[in-house]
Amino acid sequence: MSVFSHQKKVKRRRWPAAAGMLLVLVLGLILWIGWDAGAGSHAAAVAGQLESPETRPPASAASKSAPAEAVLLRLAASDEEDPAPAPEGTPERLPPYPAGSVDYVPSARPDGWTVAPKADLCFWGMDLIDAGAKIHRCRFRTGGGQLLPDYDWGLPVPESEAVEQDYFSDAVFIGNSLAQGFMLYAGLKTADQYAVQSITVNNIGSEKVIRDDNGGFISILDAMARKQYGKVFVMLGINELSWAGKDTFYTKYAELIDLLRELEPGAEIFLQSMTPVTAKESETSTVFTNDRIHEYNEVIRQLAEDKEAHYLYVFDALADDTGCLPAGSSSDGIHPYSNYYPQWLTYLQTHTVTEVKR
Amino acid sequence: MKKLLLCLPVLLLLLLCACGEKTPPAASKAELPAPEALAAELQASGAFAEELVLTENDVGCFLYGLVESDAPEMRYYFSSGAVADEIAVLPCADDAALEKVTSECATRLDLQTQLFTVYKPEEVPKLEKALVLQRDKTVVLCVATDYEKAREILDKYF
Repeated sequence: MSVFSHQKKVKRRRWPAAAGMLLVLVLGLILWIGWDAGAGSHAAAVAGQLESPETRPPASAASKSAPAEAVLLRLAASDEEDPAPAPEGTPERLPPYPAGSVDYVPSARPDGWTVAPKADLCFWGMDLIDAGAKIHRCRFRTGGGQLLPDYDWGLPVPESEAVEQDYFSDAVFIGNSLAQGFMLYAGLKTADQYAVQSITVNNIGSEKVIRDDNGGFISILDAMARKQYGKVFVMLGINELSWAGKDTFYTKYAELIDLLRELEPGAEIFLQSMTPVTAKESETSTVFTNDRIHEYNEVIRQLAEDKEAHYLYVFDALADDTGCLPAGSSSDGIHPYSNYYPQWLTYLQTHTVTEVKR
Repeated sequence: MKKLLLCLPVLLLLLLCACGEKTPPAASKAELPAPEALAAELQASGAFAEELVLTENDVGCFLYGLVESDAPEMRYYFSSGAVADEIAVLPCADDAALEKVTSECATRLDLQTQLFTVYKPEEVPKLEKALVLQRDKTVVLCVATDYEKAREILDKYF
Protein backbone atom coordinates (compact mmCIF):
# COMPACT_ATOMS: atom_id res chain seq x y z
CA MET A 1 0.00 0.00 0.00
CA SER A 2 1.47 3.32 -0.79
CA VAL A 3 0.80 6.85 -0.01
CA PHE A 4 1.05 9.18 -2.87
CA SER A 5 1.06 12.89 -3.43
CA HIS A 6 0.69 15.24 -6.28
CA GLN A 7 3.41 17.26 -7.63
CA LYS A 8 2.80 20.27 -9.71
CA LYS A 9 4.45 20.02 -13.03
CA VAL A 10 6.32 23.03 -13.94
CA LYS A 11 6.47 23.71 -17.53
CA ARG A 12 9.69 24.91 -18.76
CA ARG A 13 9.70 27.44 -21.47
CA ARG A 14 12.48 28.94 -23.24
CA TRP A 15 12.85 32.66 -22.90
CA PRO A 16 15.35 34.54 -24.75
CA ALA A 17 16.03 36.73 -21.68
CA ALA A 18 17.16 35.56 -18.27
CA ALA A 19 14.70 37.91 -16.57
CA GLY A 20 11.76 36.30 -18.24
CA MET A 21 12.97 32.91 -17.22
CA LEU A 22 13.35 34.03 -13.66
CA LEU A 23 9.84 35.51 -13.59
CA VAL A 24 8.30 32.26 -14.69
CA LEU A 25 10.20 30.32 -12.11
CA VAL A 26 9.07 32.61 -9.33
CA LEU A 27 5.43 32.45 -10.41
CA GLY A 28 5.53 28.70 -10.62
CA LEU A 29 7.01 28.45 -7.17
CA ILE A 30 4.33 30.66 -5.69
CA LEU A 31 1.57 28.57 -7.23
CA TRP A 32 3.05 25.28 -6.07
CA ILE A 33 3.50 26.36 -2.46
CA GLY A 34 -0.04 27.69 -2.22
CA TRP A 35 -1.63 24.51 -3.55
CA ASP A 36 0.37 22.16 -1.34
CA ALA A 37 -0.43 24.18 1.81
CA GLY A 38 -4.14 23.96 1.13
CA ALA A 39 -4.08 20.18 0.75
CA GLY A 40 -1.95 19.69 3.83
CA SER A 41 -4.32 21.70 5.97
CA HIS A 42 -7.20 19.47 4.89
CA ALA A 43 -5.39 16.33 6.02
CA ALA A 44 -4.35 18.01 9.23
CA ALA A 45 -7.91 19.12 9.94
CA VAL A 46 -9.22 15.59 9.66
CA ALA A 47 -6.30 14.09 11.50
CA GLY A 48 -7.06 16.46 14.32
CA GLN A 49 -10.36 14.66 14.84
CA LEU A 50 -8.57 11.43 15.64
CA GLU A 51 -7.37 10.46 19.04
CA SER A 52 -3.66 10.02 19.15
CA PRO A 53 -2.39 6.67 20.43
CA GLU A 54 -1.12 8.42 23.54
CA THR A 55 -4.56 9.67 24.55
CA ARG A 56 -6.36 6.38 24.02
CA PRO A 57 -6.80 4.20 27.10
CA PRO A 58 -4.16 1.48 27.37
CA ALA A 59 -5.17 -1.81 25.85
CA SER A 60 -5.84 -4.56 28.35
CA ALA A 61 -4.79 -8.12 27.84
CA ALA A 62 -8.31 -8.86 26.69
CA SER A 63 -8.70 -5.64 24.69
CA LYS A 64 -11.22 -5.82 21.98
CA SER A 65 -9.62 -5.94 18.59
CA ALA A 66 -12.83 -4.89 16.88
CA PRO A 67 -14.40 -1.45 16.94
CA ALA A 68 -17.81 -1.02 18.43
CA GLU A 69 -20.98 -0.38 16.48
CA ALA A 70 -19.56 -1.10 13.12
CA VAL A 71 -21.45 -1.94 10.00
CA LEU A 72 -19.87 -4.70 8.04
CA LEU A 73 -20.08 -4.42 4.31
CA ARG A 74 -17.69 -6.04 1.99
CA LEU A 75 -17.11 -5.37 -1.63
CA ALA A 76 -15.08 -7.69 -3.77
CA ALA A 77 -11.65 -6.23 -4.33
CA SER A 78 -10.88 -6.10 -7.99
CA ASP A 79 -8.54 -4.10 -10.17
CA GLU A 80 -11.16 -4.06 -12.85
CA GLU A 81 -13.84 -2.69 -10.63
CA ASP A 82 -14.72 0.93 -11.20
CA PRO A 83 -13.36 3.11 -8.45
CA ALA A 84 -15.87 4.48 -6.02
CA PRO A 85 -16.59 8.10 -6.81
CA ALA A 86 -14.91 10.75 -4.74
CA PRO A 87 -17.21 12.49 -2.28
CA GLU A 88 -18.97 15.63 -3.25
CA GLY A 89 -16.76 18.65 -2.96
CA THR A 90 -13.54 16.81 -3.65
CA PRO A 91 -11.38 18.86 -5.98
CA GLU A 92 -11.11 17.32 -9.37
CA ARG A 93 -7.39 17.07 -9.35
CA LEU A 94 -7.51 14.58 -6.47
CA PRO A 95 -7.50 10.89 -7.43
CA PRO A 96 -10.63 8.76 -7.11
CA TYR A 97 -10.96 6.34 -4.23
CA PRO A 98 -9.13 3.13 -5.04
CA ALA A 99 -11.04 0.11 -6.21
CA GLY A 100 -11.92 -2.29 -3.45
CA SER A 101 -12.18 0.23 -0.68
CA VAL A 102 -15.36 -0.10 1.29
CA ASP A 103 -17.59 1.72 3.65
CA TYR A 104 -16.93 0.61 7.16
CA VAL A 105 -18.01 3.01 9.84
CA PRO A 106 -16.54 2.33 13.24
CA SER A 107 -17.37 4.48 16.20
CA ALA A 108 -13.80 4.12 17.39
CA ARG A 109 -10.52 3.22 15.82
CA PRO A 110 -9.62 -0.35 16.82
CA ASP A 111 -7.39 -0.68 19.84
CA GLY A 112 -3.76 -0.92 18.93
CA TRP A 113 -4.15 0.68 15.50
CA THR A 114 -1.85 3.63 14.78
CA VAL A 115 -1.70 6.23 12.05
CA ALA A 116 0.86 5.49 9.35
CA PRO A 117 3.63 8.03 8.70
CA LYS A 118 3.28 10.54 5.87
CA ALA A 119 -0.49 10.57 6.28
CA ASP A 120 -0.50 14.21 5.41
CA LEU A 121 0.55 13.31 1.89
CA CYS A 122 -2.64 11.41 1.32
CA PHE A 123 -5.42 13.69 0.13
CA TRP A 124 -8.29 11.26 0.11
CA GLY A 125 -7.48 9.29 3.23
CA MET A 126 -4.74 7.87 5.32
CA ASP A 127 -3.19 4.55 6.20
CA LEU A 128 -3.66 2.87 9.54
CA ILE A 129 -1.42 0.15 10.89
CA ASP A 130 -3.03 -2.57 12.98
CA ALA A 131 -1.52 -4.40 15.92
CA GLY A 132 -0.04 -6.93 13.52
CA ALA A 133 1.75 -4.22 11.51
CA LYS A 134 -0.58 -4.63 8.56
CA ILE A 135 -1.49 -1.45 6.74
CA HIS A 136 -5.13 -0.64 6.13
CA ARG A 137 -6.07 1.98 3.60
CA CYS A 138 -8.69 4.35 4.87
CA ARG A 139 -10.52 7.17 3.25
CA PHE A 140 -12.00 10.34 4.56
CA ARG A 141 -15.53 11.43 4.28
CA THR A 142 -16.13 15.08 3.70
CA GLY A 143 -17.62 16.88 6.62
CA GLY A 144 -17.29 13.99 9.03
CA GLY A 145 -13.75 12.87 9.35
CA GLN A 146 -14.90 9.27 9.77
CA LEU A 147 -12.27 6.66 9.21
CA LEU A 148 -13.21 4.05 6.67
CA PRO A 149 -10.71 1.22 6.79
CA ASP A 150 -10.54 -1.32 4.06
CA TYR A 151 -12.48 -4.46 4.67
CA ASP A 152 -10.39 -7.16 6.24
CA TRP A 153 -11.58 -10.76 6.61
CA GLY A 154 -9.14 -11.09 9.49
CA LEU A 155 -10.88 -8.35 11.41
CA PRO A 156 -13.11 -9.81 14.10
CA VAL A 157 -16.81 -9.49 13.44
CA PRO A 158 -17.62 -6.16 15.05
CA GLU A 159 -20.32 -5.48 17.58
CA SER A 160 -23.77 -4.85 16.21
CA GLU A 161 -27.32 -4.57 17.35
CA ALA A 162 -28.51 -7.66 19.20
CA VAL A 163 -30.49 -10.20 17.25
CA GLU A 164 -33.04 -12.75 18.34
CA GLN A 165 -32.31 -16.46 18.39
CA ASP A 166 -33.95 -16.93 15.01
CA TYR A 167 -30.72 -15.53 13.54
CA PHE A 168 -29.32 -18.99 14.27
CA SER A 169 -32.20 -20.94 12.77
CA ASP A 170 -30.08 -21.82 9.72
CA ALA A 171 -26.96 -22.48 11.77
CA VAL A 172 -25.03 -25.47 12.96
CA PHE A 173 -22.47 -25.42 15.75
CA ILE A 174 -19.66 -27.96 15.72
CA GLY A 175 -16.68 -28.47 17.97
CA ASN A 176 -15.08 -29.67 21.14
CA SER A 177 -15.91 -29.83 24.85
CA LEU A 178 -16.29 -26.06 25.07
CA ALA A 179 -18.77 -26.23 22.21
CA GLN A 180 -20.48 -29.03 24.10
CA GLY A 181 -20.72 -26.80 27.14
CA PHE A 182 -22.28 -24.18 24.91
CA MET A 183 -24.72 -26.79 23.66
CA LEU A 184 -25.63 -27.82 27.19
CA TYR A 185 -25.80 -24.47 28.95
CA ALA A 186 -25.98 -21.45 26.62
CA GLY A 187 -29.71 -21.78 26.12
CA LEU A 188 -29.64 -21.65 22.32
CA LYS A 189 -32.76 -23.38 21.04
CA THR A 190 -32.79 -22.69 17.32
CA ALA A 191 -29.61 -24.23 15.97
CA ASP A 192 -28.32 -27.74 15.44
CA GLN A 193 -25.29 -28.53 17.56
CA TYR A 194 -22.79 -31.37 17.28
CA ALA A 195 -20.04 -31.14 19.87
CA VAL A 196 -18.11 -33.65 21.89
CA GLN A 197 -15.08 -33.58 24.13
CA SER A 198 -11.75 -34.59 22.61
CA ILE A 199 -12.67 -33.31 19.15
CA THR A 200 -9.91 -31.63 17.15
CA VAL A 201 -9.41 -30.36 13.62
CA ASN A 202 -7.88 -33.75 12.96
CA ASN A 203 -10.66 -36.09 14.06
CA ILE A 204 -13.83 -34.06 13.62
CA GLY A 205 -14.47 -35.89 10.38
CA SER A 206 -13.40 -39.34 11.49
CA GLU A 207 -14.29 -39.88 15.15
CA LYS A 208 -17.71 -41.50 15.23
CA VAL A 209 -19.32 -39.79 18.19
CA ILE A 210 -22.76 -38.65 17.10
CA ARG A 211 -25.69 -41.03 17.23
CA ASP A 212 -27.34 -41.50 13.88
CA ASP A 213 -30.92 -42.39 13.13
CA ASN A 214 -30.14 -46.10 12.85
CA GLY A 215 -28.69 -46.56 16.29
CA GLY A 216 -25.09 -46.35 15.18
CA PHE A 217 -22.53 -43.58 15.39
CA ILE A 218 -21.27 -41.14 12.77
CA SER A 219 -18.74 -38.32 12.77
CA ILE A 220 -19.61 -34.70 13.45
CA LEU A 221 -19.04 -33.77 9.81
CA ASP A 222 -21.25 -36.61 8.62
CA ALA A 223 -23.96 -35.51 11.02
CA MET A 224 -23.68 -31.94 9.78
CA ALA A 225 -23.69 -32.98 6.13
CA ARG A 226 -27.21 -34.41 6.43
CA LYS A 227 -28.56 -30.90 6.09
CA GLN A 228 -27.72 -27.65 4.30
CA TYR A 229 -27.01 -24.71 6.56
CA GLY A 230 -26.62 -20.98 6.10
CA LYS A 231 -24.11 -20.59 8.91
CA VAL A 232 -21.50 -22.92 10.36
CA PHE A 233 -20.00 -21.97 13.71
CA VAL A 234 -16.78 -23.77 14.57
CA MET A 235 -15.16 -23.99 17.99
CA LEU A 236 -11.85 -25.84 17.97
CA GLY A 237 -8.37 -25.37 19.30
CA ILE A 238 -8.18 -26.08 23.02
CA ASN A 239 -7.28 -29.72 22.49
CA GLU A 240 -4.71 -28.75 19.87
CA LEU A 241 -2.67 -26.68 22.31
CA SER A 242 -0.79 -29.83 23.19
CA TRP A 243 0.03 -30.52 19.56
CA ALA A 244 3.29 -30.27 17.73
CA GLY A 245 2.86 -26.67 16.70
CA LYS A 246 0.85 -23.86 15.21
CA ASP A 247 1.80 -24.69 11.64
CA THR A 248 0.17 -28.09 11.89
CA PHE A 249 -2.89 -26.51 13.46
CA TYR A 250 -3.11 -24.00 10.61
CA THR A 251 -2.73 -26.65 7.93
CA LYS A 252 -5.28 -29.03 9.39
CA TYR A 253 -7.78 -26.29 10.16
CA ALA A 254 -7.40 -24.94 6.64
CA GLU A 255 -8.17 -28.39 5.23
CA LEU A 256 -11.22 -28.58 7.46
CA ILE A 257 -12.48 -25.22 6.20
CA ASP A 258 -12.07 -26.40 2.62
CA LEU A 259 -14.08 -29.49 3.49
CA LEU A 260 -16.77 -27.43 5.18
CA ARG A 261 -17.10 -25.37 2.01
CA GLU A 262 -17.63 -28.54 0.02
CA LEU A 263 -20.18 -29.90 2.45
CA GLU A 264 -21.97 -26.60 2.98
CA PRO A 265 -21.41 -24.51 -0.15
CA GLY A 266 -24.06 -21.98 0.75
CA ALA A 267 -22.94 -21.37 4.31
CA GLU A 268 -21.00 -18.55 5.88
CA ILE A 269 -18.31 -20.01 8.08
CA PHE A 270 -17.64 -18.52 11.49
CA LEU A 271 -14.39 -19.40 13.24
CA GLN A 272 -14.70 -18.81 16.95
CA SER A 273 -11.57 -17.89 18.82
CA MET A 274 -10.49 -19.97 21.74
CA THR A 275 -11.72 -18.92 25.16
CA PRO A 276 -9.47 -17.89 28.05
CA VAL A 277 -8.28 -19.99 30.97
CA THR A 278 -8.06 -18.81 34.56
CA ALA A 279 -4.99 -16.98 35.78
CA LYS A 280 -4.14 -19.90 38.03
CA GLU A 281 -4.27 -22.37 35.16
CA SER A 282 -2.30 -20.01 32.96
CA GLU A 283 0.41 -19.64 35.58
CA THR A 284 0.72 -23.29 36.48
CA SER A 285 0.25 -25.03 33.15
CA THR A 286 2.81 -25.29 30.41
CA VAL A 287 0.16 -26.02 27.79
CA PHE A 288 -3.02 -24.16 28.71
CA THR A 289 -1.79 -20.60 29.08
CA ASN A 290 -3.46 -17.44 27.87
CA ASP A 291 -0.33 -16.45 25.99
CA ARG A 292 -0.48 -19.64 23.96
CA ILE A 293 -4.19 -19.19 23.47
CA HIS A 294 -3.53 -15.73 22.03
CA GLU A 295 -0.94 -17.23 19.69
CA TYR A 296 -3.35 -19.87 18.47
CA ASN A 297 -6.13 -17.32 18.17
CA GLU A 298 -3.88 -15.36 15.86
CA VAL A 299 -3.62 -18.49 13.74
CA ILE A 300 -7.41 -18.75 13.67
CA ARG A 301 -7.68 -15.08 12.76
CA GLN A 302 -5.19 -15.55 9.94
CA LEU A 303 -7.15 -18.56 8.72
CA ALA A 304 -10.31 -16.49 8.65
CA GLU A 305 -8.51 -13.91 6.58
CA ASP A 306 -6.97 -16.41 4.20
CA LYS A 307 -10.13 -18.44 3.76
CA GLU A 308 -12.66 -15.58 3.82
CA ALA A 309 -14.35 -16.87 6.93
CA HIS A 310 -15.71 -14.70 9.72
CA TYR A 311 -13.64 -14.44 12.87
CA LEU A 312 -15.58 -14.25 16.12
CA TYR A 313 -13.45 -13.13 19.04
CA VAL A 314 -15.45 -14.95 21.73
CA PHE A 315 -12.42 -14.77 24.01
CA ASP A 316 -13.81 -11.41 25.02
CA ALA A 317 -17.15 -12.92 25.99
CA LEU A 318 -15.62 -14.84 28.88
CA ALA A 319 -12.49 -12.87 29.83
CA ASP A 320 -12.43 -10.57 32.82
CA ASP A 321 -10.55 -7.28 33.01
CA THR A 322 -7.25 -9.13 33.42
CA GLY A 323 -7.79 -11.12 30.25
CA CYS A 324 -8.44 -14.40 32.05
CA LEU A 325 -11.37 -16.65 32.76
CA PRO A 326 -12.55 -15.33 36.13
CA ALA A 327 -11.29 -17.00 39.25
CA GLY A 328 -13.84 -19.43 40.65
CA SER A 329 -15.56 -19.85 37.29
CA SER A 330 -14.17 -23.30 36.55
CA SER A 331 -13.11 -26.45 38.35
CA ASP A 332 -10.20 -27.14 36.01
CA GLY A 333 -9.40 -23.61 34.93
CA ILE A 334 -10.46 -24.29 31.35
CA HIS A 335 -14.14 -25.26 31.23
CA PRO A 336 -16.42 -22.57 32.61
CA TYR A 337 -19.31 -23.48 34.84
CA SER A 338 -22.73 -23.54 33.28
CA ASN A 339 -23.69 -19.99 34.28
CA TYR A 340 -21.01 -18.48 32.01
CA TYR A 341 -22.29 -19.84 28.74
CA PRO A 342 -25.26 -17.50 28.32
CA GLN A 343 -22.86 -14.55 28.02
CA TRP A 344 -21.15 -16.38 25.18
CA LEU A 345 -24.50 -16.64 23.43
CA THR A 346 -25.12 -12.96 24.08
CA TYR A 347 -21.79 -12.21 22.42
CA LEU A 348 -22.83 -14.15 19.34
CA GLN A 349 -26.14 -12.34 19.26
CA THR A 350 -24.36 -9.00 19.30
CA HIS A 351 -21.65 -9.84 16.76
CA THR A 352 -23.52 -10.84 13.68
CA VAL A 353 -23.08 -10.72 9.95
CA THR A 354 -26.19 -9.85 8.03
CA GLU A 355 -24.77 -8.95 4.64
CA VAL A 356 -21.79 -10.29 2.81
CA LYS A 357 -20.97 -9.48 -0.79
CA ARG A 358 -18.45 -11.39 -2.72
CA MET B 1 -35.01 -92.43 65.73
CA LYS B 2 -36.66 -89.97 68.08
CA LYS B 3 -33.60 -87.79 67.97
CA LEU B 4 -33.68 -87.85 64.19
CA LEU B 5 -37.35 -86.85 64.14
CA LEU B 6 -36.63 -84.06 66.58
CA CYS B 7 -33.69 -82.79 64.53
CA LEU B 8 -35.57 -82.90 61.24
CA PRO B 9 -37.51 -79.64 61.68
CA VAL B 10 -34.32 -77.91 62.72
CA LEU B 11 -32.57 -79.24 59.67
CA LEU B 12 -35.43 -78.15 57.44
CA LEU B 13 -35.37 -74.68 58.98
CA LEU B 14 -31.63 -74.37 58.39
CA LEU B 15 -32.09 -75.56 54.82
CA LEU B 16 -34.73 -72.92 54.16
CA CYS B 17 -32.52 -70.17 55.50
CA ALA B 18 -29.61 -71.26 53.34
CA CYS B 19 -31.74 -71.19 50.23
CA GLY B 20 -33.23 -67.78 51.02
CA GLU B 21 -32.36 -64.68 48.94
CA LYS B 22 -29.33 -62.73 50.10
CA THR B 23 -30.88 -59.35 49.33
CA PRO B 24 -33.46 -58.13 51.75
CA PRO B 25 -37.03 -58.06 50.48
CA ALA B 26 -38.17 -54.96 48.52
CA ALA B 27 -40.37 -53.84 51.35
CA SER B 28 -37.27 -52.87 53.29
CA LYS B 29 -36.13 -50.41 50.64
CA ALA B 30 -37.25 -46.81 50.91
CA GLU B 31 -39.74 -45.50 48.41
CA LEU B 32 -38.00 -44.18 45.34
CA PRO B 33 -38.08 -40.35 45.39
CA ALA B 34 -38.82 -38.15 42.41
CA PRO B 35 -35.91 -37.83 39.96
CA GLU B 36 -34.97 -34.30 41.04
CA ALA B 37 -35.07 -35.26 44.71
CA LEU B 38 -32.91 -38.31 44.12
CA ALA B 39 -30.38 -36.27 42.16
CA ALA B 40 -30.35 -33.60 44.84
CA GLU B 41 -29.74 -36.18 47.53
CA LEU B 42 -26.91 -37.68 45.54
CA GLN B 43 -25.28 -34.31 44.97
CA ALA B 44 -25.66 -33.32 48.62
CA SER B 45 -23.73 -36.43 49.59
CA GLY B 46 -20.55 -34.93 48.14
CA ALA B 47 -20.07 -37.81 45.74
CA PHE B 48 -19.24 -35.56 42.77
CA ALA B 49 -16.24 -33.40 41.92
CA GLU B 50 -18.38 -30.42 40.98
CA GLU B 51 -21.99 -29.40 40.85
CA LEU B 52 -23.86 -31.25 38.14
CA VAL B 53 -26.36 -29.12 36.30
CA LEU B 54 -29.82 -30.14 35.17
CA THR B 55 -30.03 -29.83 31.40
CA GLU B 56 -32.86 -29.74 28.94
CA ASN B 57 -34.32 -33.12 28.10
CA ASP B 58 -33.77 -32.70 24.37
CA VAL B 59 -30.04 -32.27 24.89
CA GLY B 60 -29.91 -35.22 27.27
CA CYS B 61 -31.87 -37.35 24.84
CA PHE B 62 -29.47 -36.36 22.06
CA LEU B 63 -26.51 -37.54 24.12
CA TYR B 64 -28.21 -40.74 25.30
CA GLY B 65 -29.91 -41.71 22.06
CA LEU B 66 -33.36 -41.56 23.64
CA VAL B 67 -36.60 -39.77 22.99
CA GLU B 68 -38.66 -38.09 25.63
CA SER B 69 -41.46 -40.63 25.36
CA ASP B 70 -39.06 -43.36 26.52
CA ALA B 71 -39.04 -41.79 29.98
CA PRO B 72 -41.20 -38.67 30.22
CA GLU B 73 -39.93 -37.84 33.71
CA MET B 74 -36.29 -38.17 32.68
CA ARG B 75 -33.69 -35.92 34.26
CA TYR B 76 -30.07 -35.41 33.14
CA TYR B 77 -27.30 -33.75 35.12
CA PHE B 78 -23.97 -32.96 33.48
CA SER B 79 -20.70 -31.37 34.54
CA SER B 80 -18.87 -28.42 33.03
CA GLY B 81 -16.91 -30.85 30.88
CA ALA B 82 -13.95 -30.86 33.21
CA VAL B 83 -14.94 -34.21 34.75
CA ALA B 84 -16.84 -37.32 33.72
CA ASP B 85 -19.30 -37.08 36.62
CA GLU B 86 -22.89 -37.44 35.53
CA ILE B 87 -26.35 -38.44 36.72
CA ALA B 88 -29.30 -39.66 34.69
CA VAL B 89 -32.59 -40.65 36.32
CA LEU B 90 -34.84 -42.36 33.82
CA PRO B 91 -38.30 -43.60 34.91
CA CYS B 92 -39.25 -45.61 31.84
CA ALA B 93 -42.67 -45.62 30.28
CA ASP B 94 -42.90 -49.37 29.73
CA ASP B 95 -40.87 -52.57 29.42
CA ALA B 96 -39.77 -51.84 25.87
CA ALA B 97 -38.50 -48.43 26.93
CA LEU B 98 -36.78 -50.01 29.90
CA GLU B 99 -34.86 -52.34 27.63
CA LYS B 100 -33.90 -49.49 25.30
CA VAL B 101 -32.87 -47.18 28.14
CA THR B 102 -30.73 -49.83 29.78
CA SER B 103 -28.99 -50.53 26.52
CA GLU B 104 -28.40 -46.85 25.72
CA CYS B 105 -27.00 -46.20 29.18
CA ALA B 106 -24.41 -48.87 28.53
CA THR B 107 -23.65 -47.33 25.15
CA ARG B 108 -23.31 -43.91 26.74
CA LEU B 109 -20.73 -45.23 29.18
CA ASP B 110 -18.82 -46.98 26.41
CA LEU B 111 -18.64 -43.79 24.36
CA GLN B 112 -17.64 -41.66 27.34
CA THR B 113 -14.89 -44.13 28.20
CA GLN B 114 -13.65 -44.03 24.62
CA LEU B 115 -13.60 -40.23 24.59
CA PHE B 116 -12.11 -39.69 28.02
CA THR B 117 -9.35 -42.19 27.32
CA VAL B 118 -7.93 -39.58 24.96
CA TYR B 119 -9.39 -36.43 26.49
CA LYS B 120 -8.73 -36.93 30.22
CA PRO B 121 -7.45 -40.43 31.02
CA GLU B 122 -7.53 -39.76 34.76
CA GLU B 123 -11.34 -39.77 34.54
CA VAL B 124 -11.58 -43.25 33.00
CA PRO B 125 -11.57 -45.17 36.32
CA LYS B 126 -14.74 -43.34 37.30
CA LEU B 127 -16.41 -44.50 34.13
CA GLU B 128 -15.26 -48.05 34.65
CA LYS B 129 -16.94 -48.08 38.06
CA ALA B 130 -20.07 -46.33 36.85
CA LEU B 131 -23.37 -47.51 38.30
CA VAL B 132 -26.43 -48.40 36.24
CA LEU B 133 -29.13 -49.42 38.69
CA GLN B 134 -32.70 -50.43 38.10
CA ARG B 135 -35.71 -50.60 40.34
CA ASP B 136 -39.03 -51.47 38.76
CA LYS B 137 -39.00 -49.40 35.58
CA THR B 138 -36.61 -46.70 36.81
CA VAL B 139 -33.01 -46.72 35.67
CA VAL B 140 -30.34 -44.56 37.27
CA LEU B 141 -26.92 -43.96 35.74
CA CYS B 142 -24.34 -42.52 38.08
CA VAL B 143 -20.72 -41.61 37.34
CA ALA B 144 -19.24 -40.31 40.56
CA THR B 145 -15.93 -39.26 42.05
CA ASP B 146 -16.69 -40.94 45.38
CA TYR B 147 -18.69 -44.10 44.92
CA GLU B 148 -18.86 -44.83 48.63
CA LYS B 149 -20.87 -41.70 49.17
CA ALA B 150 -22.98 -42.36 46.11
CA ARG B 151 -23.68 -45.89 47.28
CA GLU B 152 -24.80 -44.67 50.71
CA ILE B 153 -27.62 -42.88 48.97
CA LEU B 154 -28.42 -45.31 46.20
CA ASP B 155 -28.40 -48.39 48.42
CA LYS B 156 -31.38 -46.94 50.28
CA TYR B 157 -33.46 -47.23 47.16
CA PHE B 158 -31.91 -49.89 44.93
